[in-house]
Amino acid sequence: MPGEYQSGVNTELLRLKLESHGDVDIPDKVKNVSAVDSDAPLDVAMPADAIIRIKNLKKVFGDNVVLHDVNFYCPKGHVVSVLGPSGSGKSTMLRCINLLETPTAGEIWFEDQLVNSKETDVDHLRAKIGMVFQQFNLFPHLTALGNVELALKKVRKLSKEQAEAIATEQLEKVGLSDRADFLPSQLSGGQAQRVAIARALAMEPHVMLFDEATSALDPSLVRDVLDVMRDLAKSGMTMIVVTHEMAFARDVSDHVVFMEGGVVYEQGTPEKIFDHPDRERTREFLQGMID
Amino acid sequence: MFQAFIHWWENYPITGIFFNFHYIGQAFLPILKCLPVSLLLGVIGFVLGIPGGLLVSFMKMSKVKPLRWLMTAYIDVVRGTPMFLQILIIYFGFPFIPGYKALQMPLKQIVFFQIDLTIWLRALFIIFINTAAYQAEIFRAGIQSIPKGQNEAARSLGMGKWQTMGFVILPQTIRRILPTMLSEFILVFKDTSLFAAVSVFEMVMQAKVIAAATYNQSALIVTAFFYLLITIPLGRFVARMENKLAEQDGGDGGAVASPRAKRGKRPPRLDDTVGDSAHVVSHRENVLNSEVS
Repeated sequence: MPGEYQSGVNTELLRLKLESHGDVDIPDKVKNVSAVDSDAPLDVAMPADAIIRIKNLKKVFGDNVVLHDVNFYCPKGHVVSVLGPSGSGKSTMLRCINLLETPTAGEIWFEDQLVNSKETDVDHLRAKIGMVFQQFNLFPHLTALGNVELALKKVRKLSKEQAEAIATEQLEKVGLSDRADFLPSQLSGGQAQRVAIARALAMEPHVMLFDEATSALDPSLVRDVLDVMRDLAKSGMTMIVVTHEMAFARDVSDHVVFMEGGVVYEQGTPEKIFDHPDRERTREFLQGMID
Repeated sequence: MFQAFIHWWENYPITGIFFNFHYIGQAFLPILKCLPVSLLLGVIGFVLGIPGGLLVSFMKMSKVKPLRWLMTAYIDVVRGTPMFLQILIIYFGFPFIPGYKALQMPLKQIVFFQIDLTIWLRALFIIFINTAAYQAEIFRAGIQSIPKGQNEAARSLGMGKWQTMGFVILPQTIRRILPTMLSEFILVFKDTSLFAAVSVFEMVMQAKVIAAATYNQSALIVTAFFYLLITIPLGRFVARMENKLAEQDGGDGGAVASPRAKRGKRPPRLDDTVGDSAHVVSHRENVLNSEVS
């Protein structure tokens, strides 16, 4: 059933880790899990109607294994928050979904399409997956309106009038209709990021990816952006959000994925992850973030 | 009194040989008539070099290795040899190409500024080959100076590789490379003087002839004046643009360094460095070292 997530603990990998670090103090619970499931198939059961399904995702840069084995899925209309310390592979995982990084192994499914297949029309796929970056990446030579319009005209091939109408409407939704003619250099960080969100939304994506969308912002500007993201979640948009905003993850998400060292270390409902996580490391991390 | 001064001026070795009013007046008009030749060679050659340089830079950044090697070799050869030699090789080499003779006859009938089309075409071809290599490096440095996030943002919206290049990357690149490109134009314009070596009647050739006929160097000084008339205002304009760019970008990014500035084959020039603070120069050198090497 959508919304009821399976446990995504990567038992095989944990077992390997445990064997190589035999003397390390590991909680009994983890040991048990690995012992019991060691013969079970690695494939994590996933509902076929989930809009994003990530199976055994692995990503290697040279000698550096960034993602060992990532498994989770996101049903339509849900918000999945991805938490974890820096270097845990959150961003790389997100960038694999729209092929900004090419997965080394594993499968990523978007609707009924295998993303990392040779037949994928990359541009067509990306047009249906919106992405918001930590550094906004607005086009500095175009106005706010121009930023939102560009892909409408070039990718969706809309006329100038249609593109302008949609862009104006999207800017209004993020509360920036009065900034339409401003250049990115004339916008505050919070405004720039909201323009970036409007730019992605204008393409009517089926899913939105947020890559630490508020991490580069002044604390005072974070709220505006988070409010836009909250509204978006309420409107039923499917979102995968890599974030350090714990309150947002807790309030808005349907599901929380905690990543550490290139694996999904623990995942579950926000209540479970925040209030009684199974594993010590998750608790430590969240404790650290909240303090 | 005035007569006496003029007499002294025109007979004193230095002033009389280089700044002789009589010969200056005599040379002024004939050399002015050749200014369009120098300018046209510079402008047309440079403008042709823009698409050429852009194409070469794309090929040099291409994923196809042989293409990349070919363009690296081309750029190395052009930048590593004197333009004078390139002129001698191509200008005198063209007539040996089979079929050239037949083509030559009709082209010889078409004459601009007393120079026939075979000469114009050969000269422009040489300038094109030369400046395209330098411009390719300017474009490449400019394109690579655009943050990766720009490409990622455009691609993540579903824009194709060439759409991204045309609507996102190049518009930003042009702004950054404009001063460097104008510097390149100044260099090309000055280098047209090398065609005097193959008797193309541009300004320096004309001046040489006059100087030889009059046993006086004043005609060459007149020529220098005409070059400065173009290069100094342009150089100042470039410097102003560079400063403005540096201000806007807050020291990050800014103008792209000239690929001619680094080579060490030419000493630093007015138009390479004018208006740069030491900081900008060192920054540009760094960019260049990391990107060109």
